[in-house]
Amino acid sequence: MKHTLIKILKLLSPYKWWMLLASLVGFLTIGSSIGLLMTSAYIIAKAALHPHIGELSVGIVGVRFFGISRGLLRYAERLFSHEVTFALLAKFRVWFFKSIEPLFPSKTGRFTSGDLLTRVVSDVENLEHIFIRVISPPFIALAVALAVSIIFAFFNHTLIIAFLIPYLLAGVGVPFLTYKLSAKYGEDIILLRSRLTEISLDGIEGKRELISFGKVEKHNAEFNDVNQRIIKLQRKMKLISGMNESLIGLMMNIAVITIFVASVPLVKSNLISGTSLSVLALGTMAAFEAVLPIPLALQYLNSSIKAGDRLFQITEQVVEDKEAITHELKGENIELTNVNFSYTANEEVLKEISIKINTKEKIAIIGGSGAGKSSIINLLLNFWKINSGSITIDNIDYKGISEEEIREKYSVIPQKVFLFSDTLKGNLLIAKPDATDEELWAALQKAELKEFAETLPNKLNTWIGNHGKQLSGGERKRVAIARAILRDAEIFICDEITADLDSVNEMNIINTIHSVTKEKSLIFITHRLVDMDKYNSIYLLENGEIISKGTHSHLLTNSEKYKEYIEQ
Amino acid sequence: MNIDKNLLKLTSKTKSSFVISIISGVAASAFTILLAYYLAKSINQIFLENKSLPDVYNYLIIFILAALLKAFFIWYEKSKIDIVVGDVKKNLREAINKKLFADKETILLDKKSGELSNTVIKGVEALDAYFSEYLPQLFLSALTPILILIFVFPIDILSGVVFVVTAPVIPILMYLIGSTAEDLNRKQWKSLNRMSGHFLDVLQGITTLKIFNRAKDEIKRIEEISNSFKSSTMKVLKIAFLSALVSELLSTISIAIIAVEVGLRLMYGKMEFESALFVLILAPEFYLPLRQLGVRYHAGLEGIAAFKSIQKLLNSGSDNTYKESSFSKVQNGNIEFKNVTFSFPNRDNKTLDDISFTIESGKTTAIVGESGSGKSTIINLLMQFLEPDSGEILISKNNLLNISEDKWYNQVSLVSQTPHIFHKSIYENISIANENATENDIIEAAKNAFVHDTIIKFNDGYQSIVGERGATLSGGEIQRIALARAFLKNSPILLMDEPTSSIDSIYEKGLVASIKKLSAGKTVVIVAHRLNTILSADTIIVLDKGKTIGQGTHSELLNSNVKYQNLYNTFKREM
Repeated sequence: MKHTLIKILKLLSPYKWWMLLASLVGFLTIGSSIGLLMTSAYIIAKAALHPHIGELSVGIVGVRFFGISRGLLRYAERLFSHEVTFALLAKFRVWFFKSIEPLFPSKTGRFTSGDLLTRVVSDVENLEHIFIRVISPPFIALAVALAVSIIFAFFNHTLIIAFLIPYLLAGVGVPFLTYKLSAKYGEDIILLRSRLTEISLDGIEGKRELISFGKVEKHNAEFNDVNQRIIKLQRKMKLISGMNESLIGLMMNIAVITIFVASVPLVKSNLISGTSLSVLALGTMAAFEAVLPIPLALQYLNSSIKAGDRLFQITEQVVEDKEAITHELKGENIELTNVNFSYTANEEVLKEISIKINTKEKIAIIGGSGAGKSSIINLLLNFWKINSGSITIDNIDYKGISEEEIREKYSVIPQKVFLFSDTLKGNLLIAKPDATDEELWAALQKAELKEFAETLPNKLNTWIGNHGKQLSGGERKRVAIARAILRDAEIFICDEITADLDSVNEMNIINTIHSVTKEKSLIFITHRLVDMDKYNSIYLLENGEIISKGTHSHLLTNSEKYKEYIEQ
Repeated sequence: MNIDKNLLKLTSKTKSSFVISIISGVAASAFTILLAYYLAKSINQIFLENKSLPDVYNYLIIFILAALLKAFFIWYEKSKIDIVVGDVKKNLREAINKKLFADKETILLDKKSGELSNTVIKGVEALDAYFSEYLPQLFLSALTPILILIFVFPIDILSGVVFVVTAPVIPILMYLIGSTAEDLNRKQWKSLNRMSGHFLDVLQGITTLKIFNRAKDEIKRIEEISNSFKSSTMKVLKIAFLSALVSELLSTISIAIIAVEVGLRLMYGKMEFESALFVLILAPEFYLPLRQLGVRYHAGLEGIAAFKSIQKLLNSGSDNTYKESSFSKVQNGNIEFKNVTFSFPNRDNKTLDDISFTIESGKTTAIVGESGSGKSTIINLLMQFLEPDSGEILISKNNLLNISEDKWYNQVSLVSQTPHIFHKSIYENISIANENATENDIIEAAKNAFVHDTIIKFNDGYQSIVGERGATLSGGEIQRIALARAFLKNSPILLMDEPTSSIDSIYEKGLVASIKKLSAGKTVVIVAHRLNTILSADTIIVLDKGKTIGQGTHSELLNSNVKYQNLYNTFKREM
């Protein structure tokens, strides 16, 4: 745990001067109100002795100064601390993105699913607020303790103890007490809340099933039960956290008493003047403002460390670097020779796979789900490393080529098309950042998406994806085709691109693909056998092995399995 | 700083707790005044009256007692308000959850399940701060200063006047600056959310970016976006924070004015030290609740915003009240569509336009047509998820609308295109179809649906929790679980919305035979997407743009129906 905190602090280190400045201003803000109340108390105590007006003038200047400085400093503190927070925001995002980019997709494990990724993002956001929430409050509280001790020492050093004991109880004792008491509840609440989210999602998504199987009431009873348990726990938690403000206030009043009791004998023995009594009492009261945010800071510290732990677990995986030698690849022929591959140590996904694609050849890889078709793509794009065998492009082994250079040669149309929350244009430019609008329209035309794009309210600049216009399955596929066309690489890969389309759409998309790839190599992966006679060779994959290969007519006569597929 | 009346209404059941909480808050303030009084008195005794420490012991004891009581009431205030908060959260969540089921149309129209569940969980949670922080503060920021004024006025009129004059200025000025600044502030937080959205988006799309070798460029973009957000936000915040500046300045300057004004009168002997100190100690306490209100205003805003989306949800759509069962038996007869028209709200064209046909009992009827022709709507109407705008659906001559849902759902099984698998064990996921089923029945159903082999491969077999490590199901497997449910339920009517292609070819043969077995003797309606299904159906209904354009056997339609011929050719090309 300590380790994680140190690692987080290291990430923060470039901003240490800003953080110091913001904390310092925060300290001065509270210092101003201590000063304001102490000088105010001084004025009236002094005035009670009916001195000459001149003797009050220092105090009057003082209250005027502190009265104004408190407001201005508070303003400055908020600006500085937000400055730091926004700087951290950029810093953490860039750091996280940089660290996980090389891990995609082979080393990301399970966190790529939507839910987990959302949690990762909220972990990053949690760390972004670490300065305001966690670091600055104890720093300010400590500085106030020091400053008040120094000021009180000018009166008499015994007062330091009278002040510090209740102050520490309020700033350390109370927060730790409530933290310990509520830690268990806090964890239970988090668990139950994710359970409630699960139940609620189940209810919304499984509404048809619940209604048609007559299980709505049972579902609601379960939902209400978990909900009530959460609320009960939250109540227990609140009863404990409610003690924070109340006990810190109590400690403040106790401090006022201890200071008072400690200073009366000092007054009586003329070690300090009688005016000091009210000055010390009001100064003490003002100082406790600094410890009020500590209990919350402690809770945030815990959640920040947990967030940090989760993030470091992801980012600290080892990535091997390849030596980068440029090869000027042409992308003319690709060959897999006796490739064996497994995602985890246990089960081989691909066994002794050999595939050859020559320039402008079209091949199809077919088989049911789990046969290993998509794994072949992951290997071709160098997302994963093979266990044994070899993959070559232009007769150069993949091992000696950088990932970027390999991917440069492929235009991929994936099964699940990812659209960024961006305009249509933004989504296309990913494939070719410097493309002109004319080029974009030309690509859209070839992908048969031009007519659709022309009906969009802002044409190319229409927002699509999340928060934007929802595209149908076929339209998404065509955006991916347009991207692939813009990319204009030598080899096209289509991965199950018709899997969630109906027959009519499927036909149209396949026609488009064949016309677009006339002058290209094509690797077409599918489990629906359509227009099979258009391929130079077909590889039939089952359980990670190639069980037959050849042309459509060859397989029809020689492969029982292929015939079975076709006849379904 | 308004009170939303609808929000306040939510507390009607726990009004007494709410009132007690406010009273506790006021009591805590009363003890604050008492504390100030005895502190001033004690200091005065020592400082000016030349008394010794034992002389003021009584005051100190009262002071400590008052401090303890104040601490208690502050805690009690929170404890009581939490009863209100808990009740509001409990009721709202239950109401929203109930609403989700009462309004059946949202099953089909609302696809954003994440957003909905967010409203149920987080949206309701956002109200916590509104009720526990903002609302009581609103009362206390009015009551506490008044209480302090009641004590200050008799002791020192002039200081009382300073309080009265400055106090309202804080909320007024904060409101004036606040309403514009808060607006800017809110907009800025919105764009912060959007930026977070962008970050999530980019993370989700990393693989896509890598395919195009664009991931490294994106780092620069994240930095740029963050930095430009920072500079634009800081500009806005400089204005937004002015409200904090003003409230701080006003309260501290007022304290300074009181110190000087009281001090001067003290000096000329026009006032007692004890009263002066009393007023001075109370001065920060007087302004504190007003300043806190400013801080908690944010929490209030968030709560109001969250409540708006909750209200929208609660008031949306129609409540389908549960029907009284008027027909005791749904005889196993024909299903008849008579001039049925249906259109979705907010859509111009009719999804089903005056269609009539008969589905014969005990036979298999396939519905074919291009996507968007209204095929799935027929299934949804039969499931009572939707109601026809006009015309009627007759089941053995009884209007479907008059058949109670319980009775009807006992007779029908639905295998939808996108079945839902619950976050429960696979066993429970199948047994949902028939709670009385034995383990053997369930295994039998799974075997019939060709999913048994998959299930026993999981570490915990039938007890594996879906979605957790090891028990993730593919689209095809989910389909087969849904089929297993239909096997287990074994109802006389079977409605199937055939998946376009997620069933893996490799299982197809066995599965087709299995479905045939399930269909035997049942009334089956299948929205068909594949040739095999069509060929084995007894009757085929061809839909086009919400109209029936043909009904008959395969060979009849092939000879007479051009649209069907086209469809058939498309299907055939897959071979």
